[in-house]
Amino acid sequence: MAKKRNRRVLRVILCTFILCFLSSTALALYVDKDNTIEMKGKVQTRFSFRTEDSSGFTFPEVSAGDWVQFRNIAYLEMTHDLHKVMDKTWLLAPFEALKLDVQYHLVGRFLYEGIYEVGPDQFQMVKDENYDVIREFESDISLWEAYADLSRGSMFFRIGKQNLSWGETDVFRLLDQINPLDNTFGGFFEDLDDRRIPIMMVRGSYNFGRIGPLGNVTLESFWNPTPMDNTVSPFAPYGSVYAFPAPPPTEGVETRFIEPEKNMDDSRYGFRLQGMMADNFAFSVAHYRSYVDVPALRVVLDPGPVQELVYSDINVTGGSLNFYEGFTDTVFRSEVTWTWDMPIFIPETNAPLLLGIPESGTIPTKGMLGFMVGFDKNMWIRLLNKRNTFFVSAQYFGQWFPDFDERMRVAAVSFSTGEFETIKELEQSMTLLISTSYRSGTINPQLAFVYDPRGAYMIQPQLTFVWEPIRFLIQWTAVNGEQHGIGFFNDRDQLTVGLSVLF
Amino acid sequence: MGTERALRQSLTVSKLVILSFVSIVAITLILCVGSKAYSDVSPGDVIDKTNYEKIEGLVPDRMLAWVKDGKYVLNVGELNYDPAESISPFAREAMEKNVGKYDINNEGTIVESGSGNQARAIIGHPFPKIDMGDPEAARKLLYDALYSRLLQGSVRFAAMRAYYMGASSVERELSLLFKVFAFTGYPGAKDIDNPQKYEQLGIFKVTDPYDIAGTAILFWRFFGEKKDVSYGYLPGIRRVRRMTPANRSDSIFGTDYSIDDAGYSSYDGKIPYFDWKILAEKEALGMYLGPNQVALTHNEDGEWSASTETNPIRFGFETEGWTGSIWAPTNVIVVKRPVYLVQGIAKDPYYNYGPQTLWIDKEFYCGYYKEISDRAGKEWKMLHNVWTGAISADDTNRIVLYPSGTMVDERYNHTTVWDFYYSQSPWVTMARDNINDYSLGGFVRFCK
Repeated sequence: MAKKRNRRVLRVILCTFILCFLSSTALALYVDKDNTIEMKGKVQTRFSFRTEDSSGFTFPEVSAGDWVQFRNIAYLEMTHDLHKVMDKTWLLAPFEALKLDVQYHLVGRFLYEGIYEVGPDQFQMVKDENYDVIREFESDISLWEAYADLSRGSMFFRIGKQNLSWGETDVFRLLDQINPLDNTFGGFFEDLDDRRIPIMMVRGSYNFGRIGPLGNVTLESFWNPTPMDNTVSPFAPYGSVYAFPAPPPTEGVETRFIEPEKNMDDSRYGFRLQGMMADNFAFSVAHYRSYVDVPALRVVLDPGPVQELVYSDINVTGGSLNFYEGFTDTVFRSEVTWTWDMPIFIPETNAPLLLGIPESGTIPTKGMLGFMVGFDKNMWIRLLNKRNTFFVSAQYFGQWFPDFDERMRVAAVSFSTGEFETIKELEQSMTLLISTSYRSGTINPQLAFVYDPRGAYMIQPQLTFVWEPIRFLIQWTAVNGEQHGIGFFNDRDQLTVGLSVLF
Repeated sequence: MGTERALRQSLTVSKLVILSFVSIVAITLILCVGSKAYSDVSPGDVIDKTNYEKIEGLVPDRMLAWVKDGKYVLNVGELNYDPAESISPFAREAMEKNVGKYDINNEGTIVESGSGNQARAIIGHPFPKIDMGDPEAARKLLYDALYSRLLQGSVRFAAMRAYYMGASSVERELSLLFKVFAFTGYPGAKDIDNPQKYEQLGIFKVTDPYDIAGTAILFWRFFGEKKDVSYGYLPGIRRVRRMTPANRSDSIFGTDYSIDDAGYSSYDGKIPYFDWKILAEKEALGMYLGPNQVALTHNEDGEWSASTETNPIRFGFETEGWTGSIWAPTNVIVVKRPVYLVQGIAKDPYYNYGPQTLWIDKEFYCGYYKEISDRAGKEWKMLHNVWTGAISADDTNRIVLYPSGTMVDERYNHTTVWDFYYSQSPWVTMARDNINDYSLGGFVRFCK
């Protein structure tokens, strides 16, 4: 069954690939004479190779040079603007009567990760030993996005399977935790948007325009009814390439995932008010309810020990600000959030059984302040590029638990000590991104850098080449340092080569 | 002896006189022939590498060199209409009313003469009569060129197209939606509530290629000196991000154009940000789509639209048998027109261009050429544009259309051609537009 599905996926990917070349350029296709239905697509294949030996809890063992990723993905997109065909069918009569502008957007996604079938032996063995889980994991056919836009005047609705991103922060998520993330195929090695999972949502906004001294006042809200869609961030199975390094599962201990119930009470929802002061200071205030990306751990007795990974809901209140400062020619941005009920891990509370106490664990929560300040600047470095500026973006990101408990830990065991990793009252990170382009946008270098002051860093240089309709990526990711934050992946350095063909 | 000497001297003088006379006549003849070569282009002439001298002085040196090198062939034509008349009746009427009504203040912005207040909701061209002795003459000319577009009201292009070209092939194409909401230039502008003092609002949205499709830029331009506010939606991060307004000389979408290189005068930045002066008045050969105006009609939404079933301009890469540059338009005509040569120098010390020279039609207010030098003053790029007038069947509307622009960067052997008006991209003016689209909240409609 899985082999059949894999073959189906591969066939679609191959057809899309051929379609891309037949179209000869990367321009979309219009399928009707009025040019209202636009189709476009992309096929991508990525190969990643480790550039260092694995260590610690990473399973399976991998050597430098081993092939670790063979990810193939095809997207087929269709957008239909119904404006010109409103009067051509009675089906659209209600929309025309209400004077609504309507369009809809569909994206099909076809995914096949081939490393478990054709990759090194150790990954094929992972699949053999965990067949059902890996076969579910390695390929997928889905209607990835499917939504309709309805708008009239100051009012806008988007209904359907979609992504929604709020806030000002890159890389990390503060106000941007609405959609779940799929970290199973690369985690932070991959772009954030590639990991975002669209969910069924009704989203609406109303632009009030100017109210007193505030301009561009807009109220936006969303509602993801969980009876229709209770998707949460998937958990990378043990032994998969980008799984979190952890000791092997304990025999006899079941692992159970607790996901949101499919009832209305568990729905995600949120509100955001945006505005602008003095035509320069753009702000937002928001509150939303969503679910954690990484499930919280508790060990319960039911009747034997069961490791439960619970997708707790979180309630987040926060705001953001951005403005342009003319003297330095820089855009400054900031964001702050208060998570009212961030699940935390205290071994004695979450997993007393591990300490020999025969009780079921619970998941305590604490308020957590998250914040970011950053800037973006375009600057000329003519010695290196006479025709284009360098885009420089930097952020300082922090998480603070005002009611910090010294017993708090990260629910991850350090290989060297065998203890749960510590967490500080204030955890911090810094990011830096520099990019530019050469030869009319056909050569695009970029350098990303993430630093955790507790002694870990990631550096990621990459180069993208454009030769219509092909995009070629070469990227190296290196993570080094202590096992904190990104440092947990300090044995996963990799070289990635990617090829995309577009139409 | 003395007589002999006198005679010899007399003969020498005579010879000198005759020689001088002959020289003067010869020089005059040469000059006349030469200058006859400058201005001796007539409709029907085909100018190529065999007779390029005929257009010396009528085109920038770069264009002359291209013709000489066989990259370009120019077909001299004549227009069956007066381009100076390509303005709507309300703009024609405003020409009389606006004389002396507006002025330029110390900041370089338009103010009402007398009161000195910021001028807003101007109808037609603000400076229909420009005194060349006026130190602000150049700036006034540029404002008139700006208003040639603004008096068309809100404008929309469904699918502007850019071709990125190397020396011998088209490397890639880009397609984008572009629309502008104007708050000045036309009678309806007076009725628009505008407390923020916008001059115009604009949206670009890339529709192709796939990897950057969905990238959208929102900009707000204000009257006066105030800098633009712009936001970009990047599909890769699914967010609207504030952009800096100052990198106007940066390349746009990887093309050979900078952000400031568009616009009717070939400059689309804020006019006060440059020092301008008129270098010369002369005749020049400007490019036109053809001898006739294109037709303006009302579309199903009641907007004015110039649409075409075909692609009006053919470029070298798509012309069979063409041996010149692949980026040269091969079926346009050139017409002798009076122009000003206007020099602009950026006040921003980090601006990536040095002095630029714009060739702007004195009556039609469009820019035929822009010669761009680098920061050291050396020749670098050249922009040339194709124009046409457009007229409705009942003559209730006339406008200036800008079908295409080409930026050639010979230093890097690369060219970008913009095709604004072709079969999939009708030119829509007085567009019915939703001003809400240009707010931060409304902009989400353009975001994936």
